[in-house]
Amino acid sequence: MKKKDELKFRLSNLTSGLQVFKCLIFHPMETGTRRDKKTGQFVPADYIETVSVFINGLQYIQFRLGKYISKNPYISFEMSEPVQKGSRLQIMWVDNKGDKTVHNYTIEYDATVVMNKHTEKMQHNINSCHALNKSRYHIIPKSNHRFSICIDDIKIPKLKTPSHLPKPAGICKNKSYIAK
Amino acid sequence: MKTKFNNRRRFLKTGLALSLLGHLPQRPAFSHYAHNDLVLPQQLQGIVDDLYGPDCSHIKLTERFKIHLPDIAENNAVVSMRVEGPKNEVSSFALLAAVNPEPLLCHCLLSEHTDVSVAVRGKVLRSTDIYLVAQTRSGLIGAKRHVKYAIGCGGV
Repeated sequence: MKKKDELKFRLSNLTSGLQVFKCLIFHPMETGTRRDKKTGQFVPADYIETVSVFINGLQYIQFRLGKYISKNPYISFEMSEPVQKGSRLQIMWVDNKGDKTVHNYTIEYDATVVMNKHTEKMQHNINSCHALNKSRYHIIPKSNHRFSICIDDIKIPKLKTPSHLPKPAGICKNKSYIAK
Repeated sequence: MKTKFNNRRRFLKTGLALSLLGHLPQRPAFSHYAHNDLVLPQQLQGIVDDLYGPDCSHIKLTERFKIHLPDIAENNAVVSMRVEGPKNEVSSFALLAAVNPEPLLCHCLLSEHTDVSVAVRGKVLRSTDIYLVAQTRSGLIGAKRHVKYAIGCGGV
């Protein structure tokens, strides 16, 4: 179970040459209109107002989210140019209380990787962390190869009923064929 | 006979005058909207004015930009929405749900490095129209799609 203000994301290549950035932020996104079942009090509003994605210091996209965005907000967008190896990725969001959360990553390999996460809350210093190679793009062809089974190799032995056992009773319309 | 003749003349005159009145140029309601304009509800018009300025009142309805939504949202707390459109035309767009107390779901600022293929997940309180208003160089364009929120076999 992820904690609040954590995230996971993926950069994946499309066949068209574009790259898709998908991100899931773990956040309750309380609107302030929901009552707590135990106390009966209103749960205070706690939601993300802006999410920004920077790559090498350039702002690629900025989302201004309203109250009525789902819990654990999901955002995705397509990039016209693939992200180069060694690029610095920064995901930043600010909630309605003014708290600022910054996540910093360094992209390793050929931009088809899922990076190790590194969270810094209320800090602006960038500490890059190394990436892990968990590329789904490369794993899929290997897993498909696993299912290429040659059917001729499989031999199913025929089961033989022993001769000393009686024949099993059956039901037939013609009574003469009923075994006793 | 003289009175009959006068009545007939009067009748013809009034009839002619009334028929001419019908041909006067009329100004029906919503006449300032073109037939291909997106007409927003009143509560959304103020939000769009805040975002894009009051001068941009005309929103051209287009089919080039599409909102991908489920026809029936089984879970109103998680409704996936995706906006698709041509490249390098849109600088920002807004997604609005008419029935929510705060209708602005998402306002997205795009850069030259991003394409218009953006997805978010939003909440809707009940069946509603989702409006897309996007800013281009030529002005505002928009699209609209209905999403039905169904509980069980019915709908709200």
